[in-house]
Amino acid sequence: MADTSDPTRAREALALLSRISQLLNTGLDKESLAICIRLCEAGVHPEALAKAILEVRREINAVKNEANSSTEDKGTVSRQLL
Amino acid sequence: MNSDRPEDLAKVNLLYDLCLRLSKNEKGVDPNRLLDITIQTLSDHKSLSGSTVNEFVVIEGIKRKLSVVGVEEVATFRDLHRKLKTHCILKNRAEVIALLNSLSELTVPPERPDKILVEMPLNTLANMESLNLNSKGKSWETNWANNNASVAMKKENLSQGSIKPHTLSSPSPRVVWSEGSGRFDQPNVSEHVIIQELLYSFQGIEGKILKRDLTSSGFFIGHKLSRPQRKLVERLAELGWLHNKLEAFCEADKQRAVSKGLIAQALNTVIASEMTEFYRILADLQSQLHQQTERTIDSPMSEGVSRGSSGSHSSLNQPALTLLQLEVHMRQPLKRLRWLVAVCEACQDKKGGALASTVHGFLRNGDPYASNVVHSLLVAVCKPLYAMLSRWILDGELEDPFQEFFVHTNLQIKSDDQLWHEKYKVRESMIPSFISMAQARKILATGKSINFLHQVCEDHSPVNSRELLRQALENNSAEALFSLDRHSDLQSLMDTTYLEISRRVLDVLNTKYKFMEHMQALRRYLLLGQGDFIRHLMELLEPELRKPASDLNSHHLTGILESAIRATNAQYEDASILQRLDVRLLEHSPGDSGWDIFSVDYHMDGPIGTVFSSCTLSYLMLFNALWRAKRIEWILSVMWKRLTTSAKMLPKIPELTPVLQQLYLLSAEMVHMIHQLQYYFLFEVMECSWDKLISNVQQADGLDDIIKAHNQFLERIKAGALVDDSSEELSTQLRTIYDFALQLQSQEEKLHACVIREVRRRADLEKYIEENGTNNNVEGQNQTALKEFEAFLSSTRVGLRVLAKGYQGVVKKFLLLLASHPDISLQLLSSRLDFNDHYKRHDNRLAAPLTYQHRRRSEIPAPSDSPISTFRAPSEPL
Repeated sequence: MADTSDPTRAREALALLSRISQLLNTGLDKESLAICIRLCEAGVHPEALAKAILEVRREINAVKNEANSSTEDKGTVSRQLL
Repeated sequence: MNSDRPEDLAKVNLLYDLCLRLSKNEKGVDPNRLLDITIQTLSDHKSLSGSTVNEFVVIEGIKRKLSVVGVEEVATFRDLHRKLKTHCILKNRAEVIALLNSLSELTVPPERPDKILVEMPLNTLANMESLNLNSKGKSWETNWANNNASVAMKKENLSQGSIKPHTLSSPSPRVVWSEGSGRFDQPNVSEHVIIQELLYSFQGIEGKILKRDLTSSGFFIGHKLSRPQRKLVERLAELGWLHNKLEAFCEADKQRAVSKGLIAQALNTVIASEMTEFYRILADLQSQLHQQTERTIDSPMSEGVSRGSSGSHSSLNQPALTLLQLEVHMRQPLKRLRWLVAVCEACQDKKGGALASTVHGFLRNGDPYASNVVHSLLVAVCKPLYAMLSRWILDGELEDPFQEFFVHTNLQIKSDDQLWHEKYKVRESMIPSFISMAQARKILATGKSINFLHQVCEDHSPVNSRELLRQALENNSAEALFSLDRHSDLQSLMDTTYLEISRRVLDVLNTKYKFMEHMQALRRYLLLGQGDFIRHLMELLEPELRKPASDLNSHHLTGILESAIRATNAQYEDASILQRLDVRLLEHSPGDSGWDIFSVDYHMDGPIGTVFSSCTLSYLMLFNALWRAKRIEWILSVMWKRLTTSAKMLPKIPELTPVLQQLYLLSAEMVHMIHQLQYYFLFEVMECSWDKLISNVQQADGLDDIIKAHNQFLERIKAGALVDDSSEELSTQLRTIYDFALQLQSQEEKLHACVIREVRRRADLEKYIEENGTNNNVEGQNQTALKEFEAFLSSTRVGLRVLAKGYQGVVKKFLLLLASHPDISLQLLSSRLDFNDHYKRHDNRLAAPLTYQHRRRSEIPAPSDSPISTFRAPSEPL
């Protein structure tokens, strides 16, 4: 894979891409970005990958919301109990 | 996850890592579930894998998005992107950026993938570097999708079933058309679809409505359309055909152009750039069309869209693109493409200058727009031509690897002698139509003169106007070549350079190589202008040349020539000229005497050889003709001298008188004849032609003029000296006349010897008788001797009578030929030869040519360039 061939240059490229990422407000952290780059380099289509990431985020959010609402519910229940 | 391939496994691992990262802070999220989601999503969108990512489009989209945020962001992004480009470490740079773009959470909705897809066919515009890598990715992705076929199937069905409105512009064009196909059954196809199809067809891509005609590479309408739509589509469908034609031309020519030469390559390049321009127009229309769909379909987002692009893209605020508008938009490109195709077809099998002529033929077509198109083509086509021309007229160098220039060199000619005449020629088929033959000749002469100066004359001094010309050539472009203005600076400078370089050649020839002196020497020694030398040479050579031709020794003759030079005025001639004088013996056949094969030669090597060397044969012929006439004159004068000196002694023999009278008459006739002929040759022909030659040479602008003048000079004196092809009959007669003179000479010599013997015998006899007295024996001997002498005399008389008869017959024939000759100077010569009507009285035929009727008949076709008439006429420039 390309980014292992020359560590310093790979790091520079990663830095540049992460700045672009910040600029575009993608919400990816450096590690995720690195993985995404490697996936792209491996030939995964970017649009598909983007869709996948958005799906994953939605899923996580759904789970989070569920958890939040469940904790809220629990809180109200406990308050009610109290 | 049952993947067999290690790279698939690696990807799955990466995806798993990604899922872990994304869910790092969340509890209760199962990474495996997330992985399932990712893989499903990926396989859902496997149809995407066939498409390529156009970096340019993505970058433009990002810039547009960022421009909403602020100008600085755009600049930063541009900077980052530039840096990233210099890092060539990423194979799929465009893909990564596209990913980031898709994930971007800026207010503007992400650039839709179909935008990229729509521009995909315009791959001539696009950066092609990622294409190969992508196809690799594709194969992987299809494998991968097959592995998960069950999941993919389910998902695909789902997505097919639940087509939302905006999937009209969804990633795959196939989806668009399959979705749209439901509507194709009705004659009323949406205008949007038609426009899209048309735009595809303009790039040579077949669609549902416009089918490609396999035989003619054109398009036809393969679908029902309403009448007005049909009309418009029909009108526009031609563009697809034109596009295909041009593309085929570019492709076919790319291979052929290499062998067809620079000018064909130039045409190919300019056509390719015209195509690029055409694609740009299409891309514009495409984006307009696309934004329009976005606006109509994603209406909730339209606010954001219009806001986002208000800065850079105003087309969004325009009304929707209609078929009619498209037709109007495409009107000019259609015309342009039509002309391009016409030019390309005409140029298909041409190359070089011929190609430029063909393109030039399209220039004046009366339509200013089309003229413009052709003009731009012509400028491009002329560029290599212009470069070649500049090189040729500045340095005399030909850079023409494909034989396209209208000057070509014959590489087989190595010797410098033939450089001027043979080495460089105008290649007539390659003269562009905007350069006249006269101009082409001037251009040829300019470069040739440079080469001549460098190679033959070894003259390397710079020419003044060269620098000026170089500047002019640099300042002007190829356009100047075919501009109408024949008096532009460049043209006039080219003319002055031509004149200057030609004058330089003449100058060098005259000063360094003594051209005039050599010409003078040729006249003096080969055309017998130096009388004392020739006379002396003849006297010295006489004993040698009497010998049979086979006994002659050219070395010995050269010695005689040198002694003749030393003894006469020729010794004051320039040494370089005398060195060139030599003896030349022609090939002899048995029975020839030395006179027949001897001639004087002049070595014509070096730069002057350029003018003279082609004329060696002419000079040889002329020398022989003149030399023969001179010899006869000389023989006759020797004979006359002998007759005069012996006149005192001859009257002692009274029976000799009638013979002598015959002899005097005949020799006087011959002397008159030969003197008139010599006068004619030497004065009327030679001097007049020489005078004309000198004035022509002085007026000459270039070496070509001199060569021409010199050749004309030779032609004229050849005609005058009766050695050219047309006067063969006359020269045969002349030869017979000369033969009679020779016969007379031998008769006279015999007579003279006999008379001398007789005189001596008589003197001896007288003396003997005085001393010893006479007797029968002596008287008897005397009587037999006298009888013998008388017999000899009478035979001589008969011989002379026969000779005179024969001679007069020949002369009459000769005079008749002269008198009826179309050349008036020869007619005059005839009347001069027969000034007292001596011959005319004996032959009535001779009177006829001099009658008014005959003269009128013969005068009308008389050419005006006879020596006398041209001598008197004002000399016209050659």
